[in-house]
Amino acid sequence: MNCPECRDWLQRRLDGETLASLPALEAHLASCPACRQQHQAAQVLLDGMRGLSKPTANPDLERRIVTRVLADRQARRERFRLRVWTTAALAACLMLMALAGYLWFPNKNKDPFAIKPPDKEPPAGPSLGESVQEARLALSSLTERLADKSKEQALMWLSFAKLPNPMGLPEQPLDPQTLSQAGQGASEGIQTVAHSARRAVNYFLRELPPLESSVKN
Amino acid sequence: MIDSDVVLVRRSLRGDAQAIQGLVERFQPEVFGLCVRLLHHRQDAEDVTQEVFLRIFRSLRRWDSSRPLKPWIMGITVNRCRTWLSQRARRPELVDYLHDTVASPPVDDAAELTREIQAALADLRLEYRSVFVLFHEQGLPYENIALALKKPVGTIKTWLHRARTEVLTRLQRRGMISEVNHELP
Repeated sequence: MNCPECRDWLQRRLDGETLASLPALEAHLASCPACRQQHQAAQVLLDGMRGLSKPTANPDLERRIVTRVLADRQARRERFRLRVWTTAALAACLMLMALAGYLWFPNKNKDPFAIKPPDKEPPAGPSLGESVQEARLALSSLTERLADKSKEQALMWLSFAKLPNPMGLPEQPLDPQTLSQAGQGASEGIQTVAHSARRAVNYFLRELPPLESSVKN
Repeated sequence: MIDSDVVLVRRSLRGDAQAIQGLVERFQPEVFGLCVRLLHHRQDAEDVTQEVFLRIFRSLRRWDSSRPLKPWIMGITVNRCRTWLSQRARRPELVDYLHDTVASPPVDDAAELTREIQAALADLRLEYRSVFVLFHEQGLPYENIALALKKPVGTIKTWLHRARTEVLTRLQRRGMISEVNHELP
């Protein structure tokens, strides 16, 4: 037996195993003072622990413990029962108060238990695509109309000023109705532009966050 | 026929006074023994033993019945003793004369050795003392001590080794054993 084996044997002994002394161990202990000292120290410790008498309590202690435990259980049960009754009484009082309030102040116009119809959702505005498409159509229509009107007005002013006609446009007679139509056309064109601009501004205002929240933030 | 711990616990939870008495009877010597070793004071040990059993029966529903009962009880005992010691350290000591350390004078070498070991135990840190007493006096295996103290088995082995070394060092200082040049395994 060598020193590690001897230490292992001693460790098992300290761990409570009952081991018979081996001749190889005795021989090693006789030749190794370090292991011999360890064994002697461990033996003293184990002998001392064996001699240690277990503390014995007062014979009355067990009865006192049982009495105290039973009393504690009884007290806890009483507390639990009291808590349950208090909670039940409070709940009953609240229900009675609610019932009395309902009966004392009847509101015949409004049934509190009536099912409220769901609120109507506000109509959704036109989407971005629809707005852009509408603006595009309005602009193209306006351009066409303005082009026609400009052509008519150019002819009118050319004939009025007796200027040469470089583009060879057909001449039109100058009368008050023609002038009125030209003015009306220009007015309609401006109205269309203003309407489209208003639509665009409304769209962007709708997309912006509310003013209050943005101020708070 | 002796009821198992689980049966006794179930009956206790139903309020069976006999089962409560059975559990107290079964574990009171060990709880009290551990309290005496950890507190080193007989009167305190009796008080703490009563508190330990109150706590045991209040929290018996929380015991995991798939685990052994004794380590759970010993864990509560160690915790209660730790609290008691910390409270005792804060209040002035008025009852020195009650200490068990001044027991009857030694009559022979064995009795003196026992007395020295008790004194050495009293000087140990609470963790080392708990492990030493649970292992060497109560016979709990490492795994159950680990369960009781909620520490890994490796920590328990280390603490036990240090406890043994410290006890032996004191015994050497007191001339109970010859000088040990190498530590115990």
